[in-house]
Formats: sequence, C-alpha cells, structure tokens
Amino acid sequence: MKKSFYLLLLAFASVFTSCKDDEDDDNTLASGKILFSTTVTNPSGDSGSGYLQAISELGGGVSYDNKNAIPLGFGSYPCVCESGNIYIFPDYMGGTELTLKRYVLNSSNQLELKGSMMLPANSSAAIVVEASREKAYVCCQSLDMIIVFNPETMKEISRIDVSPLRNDGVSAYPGAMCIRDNILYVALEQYNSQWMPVENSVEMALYKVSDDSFIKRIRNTSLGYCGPTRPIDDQSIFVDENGDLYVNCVGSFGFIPGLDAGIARIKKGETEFDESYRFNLNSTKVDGLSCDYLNMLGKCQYISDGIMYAYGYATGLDPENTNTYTARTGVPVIVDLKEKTVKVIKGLPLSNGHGMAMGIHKGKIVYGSANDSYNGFCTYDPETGDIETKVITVSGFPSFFYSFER
Amino acid sequence: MQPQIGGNKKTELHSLTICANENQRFSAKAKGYKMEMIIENLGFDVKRYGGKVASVMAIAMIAAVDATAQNDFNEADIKELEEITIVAKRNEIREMREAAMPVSVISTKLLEGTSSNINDALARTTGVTVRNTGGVGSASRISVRGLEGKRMGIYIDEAAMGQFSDYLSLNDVPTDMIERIEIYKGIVPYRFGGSALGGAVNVVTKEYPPVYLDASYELASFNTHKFNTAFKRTNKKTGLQFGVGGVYTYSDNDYEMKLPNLNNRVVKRDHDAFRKVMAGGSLKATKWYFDEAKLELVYTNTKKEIQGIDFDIREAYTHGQAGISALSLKKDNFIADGLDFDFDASFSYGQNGLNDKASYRYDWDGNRYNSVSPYGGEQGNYASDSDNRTKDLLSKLNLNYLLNKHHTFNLNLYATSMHQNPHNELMDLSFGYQTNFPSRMKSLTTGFSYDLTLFDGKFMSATTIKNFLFTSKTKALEHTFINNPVDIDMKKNYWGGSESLRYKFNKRMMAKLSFSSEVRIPTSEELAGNGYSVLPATDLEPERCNGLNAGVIYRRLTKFGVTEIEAGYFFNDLHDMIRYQADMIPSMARYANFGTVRSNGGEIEVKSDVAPVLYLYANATYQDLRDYREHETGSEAENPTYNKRMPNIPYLLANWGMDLHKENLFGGKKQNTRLLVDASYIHEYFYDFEMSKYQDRKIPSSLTFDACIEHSFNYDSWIISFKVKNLTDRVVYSELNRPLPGRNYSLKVRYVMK
Repeated sequence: MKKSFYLLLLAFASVFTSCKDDEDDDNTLASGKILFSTTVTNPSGDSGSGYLQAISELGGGVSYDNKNAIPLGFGSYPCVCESGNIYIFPDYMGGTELTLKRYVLNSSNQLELKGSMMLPANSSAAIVVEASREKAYVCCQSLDMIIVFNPETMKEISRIDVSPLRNDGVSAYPGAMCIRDNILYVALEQYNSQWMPVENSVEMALYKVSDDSFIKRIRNTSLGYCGPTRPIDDQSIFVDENGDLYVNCVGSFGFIPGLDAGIARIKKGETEFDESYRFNLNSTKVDGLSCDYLNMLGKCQYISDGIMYAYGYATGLDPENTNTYTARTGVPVIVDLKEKTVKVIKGLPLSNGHGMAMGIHKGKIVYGSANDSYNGFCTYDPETGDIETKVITVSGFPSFFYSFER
Repeated sequence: MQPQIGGNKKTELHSLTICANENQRFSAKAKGYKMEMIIENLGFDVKRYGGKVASVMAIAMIAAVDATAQNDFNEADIKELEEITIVAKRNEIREMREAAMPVSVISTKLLEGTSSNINDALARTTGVTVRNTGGVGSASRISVRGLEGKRMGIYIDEAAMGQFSDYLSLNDVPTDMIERIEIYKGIVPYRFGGSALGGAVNVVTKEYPPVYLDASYELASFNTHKFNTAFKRTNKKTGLQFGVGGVYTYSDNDYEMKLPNLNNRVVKRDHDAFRKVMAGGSLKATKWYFDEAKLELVYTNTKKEIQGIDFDIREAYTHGQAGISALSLKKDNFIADGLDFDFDASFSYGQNGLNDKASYRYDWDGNRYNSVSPYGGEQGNYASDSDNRTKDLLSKLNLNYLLNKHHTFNLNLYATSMHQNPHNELMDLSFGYQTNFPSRMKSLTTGFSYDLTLFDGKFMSATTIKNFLFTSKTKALEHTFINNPVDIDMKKNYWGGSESLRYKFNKRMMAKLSFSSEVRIPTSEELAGNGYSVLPATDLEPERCNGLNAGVIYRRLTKFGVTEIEAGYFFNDLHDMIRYQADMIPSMARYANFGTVRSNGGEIEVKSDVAPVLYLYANATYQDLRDYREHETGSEAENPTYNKRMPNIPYLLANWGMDLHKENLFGGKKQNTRLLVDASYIHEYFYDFEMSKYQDRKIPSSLTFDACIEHSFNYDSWIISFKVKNLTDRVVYSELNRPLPGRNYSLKVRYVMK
C-alpha cells in the first residue's frame, strides 16, 4: 500500500511538471496594411477585452479569429496618427497594465512594438495627438490631465492639469483633442459622476503647442447642445480641407432629454465657436430612419466637400432592448455638414454599440457591423453607391478599423 | 437509534466511562446505557496514557456510531481502564463520507494544523478553491468545483448564514471552536434547506463538557493580533448551559506587494488595517419540553480600510455592525414516535456603509490628483458616506419521520425575508439624484425528501423535490447614467429536485452517484446592490443547474491507522449563471446573468497513516468550466468565446502535506508534538477568455508551502504553535491579480480548561 501511495504522489507530480501551455510555435503576427480590432464582451456588454490585428485583404468573406491579435484594454480604441504611429491604451476602466504602447507597421507590414510609457492609474487614457516627431499629447480623461510625451523615446515631458477648468459639481473631463495652427484644442466634457453633462454647453480648452501654455477656455451655451467630442473617438474632432474645425458633440448619448447632440464649428483663423453654424442632430429628421431622429453620431469619418460618413445612434431603433451595449441602435448614415442633412445608407445592417468601427479603404467607406446574423465588416462605395455586406467576418464586435491604403 | 447519516446529531452526556476488554472491544456507560464499540470498525486512535476521558470526543463517537443500547453486554468481560485518552480521529468523518452525497470533511486536527482560519483549511480540500483578495479580513470567495460565491450554501451547525454575510464570514468563526467542517459538493443536504447550488459548507461547532474555558491569543506578522475566548457552564440539575465568548482581531496588513500593472513596482500596503470585534452569549436548555432549546445573541463590529492597488488610497474605509439573534429548537419523537422536529430562526439588524469622501487621490509616487467628483472619493467617480440599514429574517423548519429502518420522510421549509434601506446622501449628490432605493425580498423553499435504505444499509437513496418561490419589490435605475427609477415587483416560482445513491460493496469500498436539477434564487445584494460598490441588477434571473456527481471511496485500516483513496467525477450544466463583474463605472460592479456554462472535472485524494508518527495526504482537482453560449446575445453571430474556458477561475489545483506527530518527544509526560507541512499548487489561469496567443494577462502558477510546529502540555490543556505561511516567500496573486502576503509568521498560545 505504501508503495502505491508513493506511486500516486509521483503521478501527481508528473502531471504537474508535464503541464505546459499549448504553445503555438508560430509566433509571427499576421501582416497587412489593414488594421482592425474586435471587442469581446460578456453577455451584458459592459466589460471584456479587445484584440488588434493587421490583415492584408478586405474581402472574400474571409473569417478572422483573434488568435494572432494583440490584446487591448477594454473601452478605448487604438489611435493611428499621420506619422504611422499606432497607439494602444490600457483598459479604460483600469485593471490592466498601465502603459501607453506605440506600435508601427514594420517593413513586413506587421505590428511592431516601438516603445511604451507608464501612465498614472485610473487615467482612462484614450486619445493621442502628435505635434511633431518628438512631441505628442495623451489625454488622461479621468484625471483631468494631459501628459506631454516624446513619441520617439516614449518618455514623459510634462503634464497639463485641466482640473482648474472644472465647472461647479462636475469634472472637466478632457475628451478628444486636435491640433490646428499650433494650438491644441481640448474638448471639455464637464461630466458628472456618471459621465453625463449637466447643461447644454460646448467647451474647449486651448493651449499653445510651442510651450503648452494655457491660452483660454471657450464656452458656448447658445448652440443648444453639449458633450463636445466622443471622448474615445479621435475622429470626433477634425479639420476639413478648408481649415475649419468641426466637433461632433454627443450630448447625453440620448439618455437625458434636452441635453442634445449636434455639430459645432470653429472657423479657420478663429478660436471661438461659430455661432452661425448650428446643427442639432436631435431635431434633424433623418432620411430613411424608421424612428426619425438620431440621438448622436457614435463614430464619424470625414471625407471631403462637407460629406461625412458616420454611425448614427438611435435608441428608437431597438426600443425594447434597454441594454445600450447590445441593442441594435447603430445605423450607417451620410452627413452633409454644409446642408445639415443626415441620410441612412440603405442596405447596411444595424449594429450594436460596440460594433461601430469605421474607416476608409481604397476609396470605400468601411463599416464594422455587429448585427443580427454576423460580426464583420461591410463597405459602401461613395462613387457608385454600391454596398457590400459581410466582406469579412470577425470574432467579436468590430470596434476599430484603419487602412493605410485609403 | 440509527443516527442520521451525514447528520449532526449530538448526544448530551454528562458522565461517561470507557472500558475495554482484552479483545480490544470497548464499551461506554452513560446515563444507564451501555454501548459497545469495536475499535477495528471505528478507526479510533486509542492512547494508553494517564488522564481523564476526553468526554467530548467520546460523545461525538457515540453520536456517530450505531449506539443501540446493548443490555446483554457481559460486564464480566470488561476490564476498566482508569487512564485512557480517546482521540476521535475519523469516526464521524467516515460516517459523513458514507452519506449518499459527495462530501469532504475537515477534521479538528487538520483545522488546528497550519491553518490560521477556516479558509486556509478549506483551500486544502479537494475541489475547493478559496480566493482571498488580501490579508486578514479581506474579502474572499469560496468555490466548490469552480462554482463559486453566493451559490454556495454557508451554514453553521446547519443554520444558514448566507444572508448575514455583510457582517459575518466563515473566517470569523475561530478554528478552536470547530469540531469539523463538512463540504458538500454538488448537492446540498435536504435538511439544510434553502436554494444553494453547487454545494455547501457546514461548520460544526464543538460540544462542550459541563465546564469549559477556551482562550487563545495569536501574534502574527503585519501587526496582527487575534484573541478568542469561549466559556461554557452547564448546570447538571437544570440542564441549562450558559455560554459567553468573544473575538477580537486586528491587523495592519502592511505587507509588501508587487504590482504587475505598474511595471512590477514593489510597494508596502499602507491602508489596509482591519479590526473586528465580536461578542456573544448563549443559553441552552436540554430538560425543557424540547430536547434542545437554544438562544444565541451576537454583536459584531467591523472596520476595514480600503487598500489601493493601482492607486494609493489613503482614507476610504468600510464599516459594519450588526446584532444577530438565533433560536434553535429540537425535539425527537415530536407529536408522533419517529417524528423529529428541528426549527431554526434568526434575525439580524445591521448597519453598514462605505466612507469615501477624500478630496484628493494619490498615485504611488505621491502625485496628488483631484477626486473625480467634486464631492470627493478616492475609489471611483463618486463620493460616499453611506449608512445602509438591513433587516434579515431567516427560518427553517425540518420535520423528519423515520417510518422504519428502510423508509424516512423529510419535509423542509426554508423562508427568508430581507429588507434593505440604503442611505447615501453624498453619493446621491455626486450623481445628482437618488441612486439607491429600499428593497424587500422574500423567499420560501419547500423541500420534500424520501430516504430509502436497503440491504442492511448497503444501499441508500435520497430523493428530494423542491419548490422555490420568491418575491422582490424595489425601485431601481434602469440605467445608472440617468434619473429614471422604475418599480420592480417580481414574483417567481420554480421546481427542482435531486437524487442521490450510495452503494457499499464491502467494508472498504463504496460508490456514490447523484443527479440534481436545482434553482438558486438571487440574493438581495445580487438583485438590489449594496448601496455603494455593487449596483442593482433587478432583471437577474435565478440560476438553474443540472448536475451529475459520481465517486468511489476506498478505505482500509492499516496497522498504523487508515488509508483512504477517493476519486470523483462531476458535470454541471448551469443556465443563467450569475456572475460578479466590473461595471463601466470605475470601482462599481454588478451581478449579471452570463448564460450557459458547463463544468466537467474530476478529483482524486489519497491519504494515509503511513507510519505510527506520520500522516500524508495529497489531492488534485481538475475543473473545466466553459462558456456554452453558441451565439452572441440576441444574434445569430457565433459567440467568440464558445467552448472557451471561463476566465478568472483556476482549473488545475493540488495540495499535499504531512503531519509528523510524537508524544513526549522532548521527554516529560502528557505532551504531544506535531510538525505539519502543507503545500498548495494552483496552475496558471487567464484573467480573460483565452483568445490570443499574445495574451499576457494571467494569474501565474503558484506553489506555496506552509509549516507549523505545535507542542501541547497536559493533554492539550496548553498548546503552543508556531506557523510560517508561504515558507518560500513566493509572490502570489489571487483573482484579478490581487497580491497576497509573502512569508509571514505567527505564534499562538491556547489554553483549554475542560
């Protein structure tokens, strides 16, 4: 008996010493000039993880899993700058490694990590804008802070404290950022504890890029909407070909009646909101939309000549589903910034709140879609108006798309 | 009378004589009864050295064996022993293990070994995982075969304590006062009542001799102090037993921790002090109408600082206090012969809350940041100064009718009523509107069971049918983002059942098989939140679980003691699994239905007295829980995590250890020395679903060793023990990468007067 007892012990030991992960010897990343990420959530949609990968082709109904993807923090999207730098962030709610990572596509079109920088805890970091090869800004939204850093070395240079710009009873909550004419425009969300605005005001803080000094705060309460930029969407503030700066204001995400969404503009050469430009999305009837009005634009992609493609968000599209993460409330739309009109792109499926990736690939507008029958990508050709659905399918909700072949 | 298998029946005796004849047949005389016990069949460890009979152990023995009075016992054959100590090693344990349901039992000796508390002992049991989140007083979750948290039934002497978990935890019960711990896997015994799934933990406290005093003081690393005392006095004439006791625990918990999210930076915990005070009294009557009537009153008061991990939290803390009363009535042959009556009722009134109103937050470099909310708060987006009031009533009625030796019927009614009244002005100010609302929840579980025993007890079957009824009434915010409270008025009714079978092939070998289809009703915290860190989830559906358990036990007496091998298999199909998960709002969490999860696994345990002075054990568990949702919620799209292992749940665990014991090792008399070493292994597991080969968020494998040397004097009247935990000073993380203490020490002195 004694002998068999020791044999059993030995068997246990051998089980544990022989336990190795199912390691895949093929450690090469997938390659290509197309980037996309998916978000894999729990059933309620409010937590999970993200995965980023590079692929070479968008078409043929190919199915991609996440086996070769780089894990991302949940709740924020990668930022791709004109320099080609690709930034990924820690989990927006915290709990993951607190580093900002810079990747590039290398000569083999594979994602290659070039450096990383520690961020403070609870940063909710989401947006990077680059001023030069040696200077960039990352917005730490929950800390009311912007960190200035060197992208080459990934070393922190300085910090900009935005908290003095808080309104009463709220947090300044810096959102998406943009640089125009050597001025850093920082959206101020002025959120309360549940990330909601409390009044119809559009505010921004302006800093000199040369020395990061504070220029002024601009605030407009006459436009009738609020929530300047979607804080995790770097395309929600952009400069058009005329030098005008547009801000997609998301209001209260459709939750609080009267706190509206709309588009604000700061004209070229000016540093105040253009009072003459008003585009309230909550009162603009949308052509082709079953519930008439959008709550906001969840994701946008400006093309040219005042035409912007977007994912409209309307709770009225799935009124029975109160889960804002999984309800089919995202609808692909064309926004005419000049005419102030919104039109639904017919034939593209409705998507949920996570599957709102958008981008441009070889002249086509690409929409991620987490719809009733698949998770994948669709395209719209602005020239012909042709649509193609399910061009590829993916594992998880398609939450980010960027192509270096625009 | 045949004791109820797996039961907790205790026989109150005040005088006892243990005798033995030359054939090693032992007998006991008590209150006119004579009982014969054969040592070979019991596995008692009888030590012939001077001293009095350990009556409490003997009582336990008598309760466990077939204590039929044997009036034909030949007294002439009896040779009376004046000097004898009986140590009940595994008698009750064996009876427990022979029950039809899968059960593990932790005995007193294991509890008093390297374990500092119940959780330590549970963690070494086959199929049990205990995940602490820090040092003394930290939150911990117990899971059996991967099914964790609130679906486990937690009982003390078969009285449920689940609803009082805001104020009391298993760890609050001093190990010195515990006779044994029963861990039921898969199926919860019908007499416990309630709607637990996945299993139950029942802590059986000690029975006491007429006069009993137990006091201990433990000094441990990180400025940890633990003082326990219990005094019991029984009046033989009136049958009244009075008891008082108290517990004081304090720890700074200021151990160093390595932070994986911060580039493996090492910091010293600086805001994790824990203090708990408990005091209680009891009155038990054994000569009134009821065989036993017991009233207990307990007061508990806790304060726990909140330790930051990524951030350096400096001021926030939680607090709670409660008064708990419990009434227990038992009577055999109640109304009719063979009908046993067992009634428990408890009521608690408690107050708890989170105080988090610091204006600034700090990182580990000392940099200061404004709190997110202008009203303060270090943990998350909001300030809190909550004063939540809770009233919990729980009652259980068990009627057991023994028709004859083949047939037993049981009716169990288990009712709960909970009322929460949260109050948190500061949180409401931060949000701009009322965020928490009063809630009421009531439940009634009715269970009817039938036990069939055949072939001289070789075959046993227990069949149970249950009905679950629960109602919930509250208000809740449909979205935490906006002020839109909606009325919740819910009433649900479900049926469930289970079947357990056991067959004893011979004295050494038996097999067990059980099936169940059970329902677990969400707790009030799961439905209504806790008023600060857990958000309401009023649309939660009850969990349903269909399970299968099978096991084989081989047990053999050897010349040194016992050798036992047990192997088990389990399968669970869990629908609408309720899962604790982080919310979008930082520092907030909520419970949500996950969907269908299947668990499959096996466990094996071997233990043996391999030498007169050496006991060894080893066990291993493989528990594979997988997501079985084929499609995304509300879509035909494939679920990307279909058939993937559930994250943040360990799946491969093992423990092994030894107990080296020798009497009078250093000379002298009446002394005993024990050296114990325990090892625990948890294989690496993923924080998220395993999707990518580049995934690096893992809780690393851990192999830890604990050791203890214990020396007792005067037949365990004085016990001194020195423990070293995490002997090799391994860096260990628990769930969600919570750092646990490195090597730490404790010295304990205990005095028992009996």
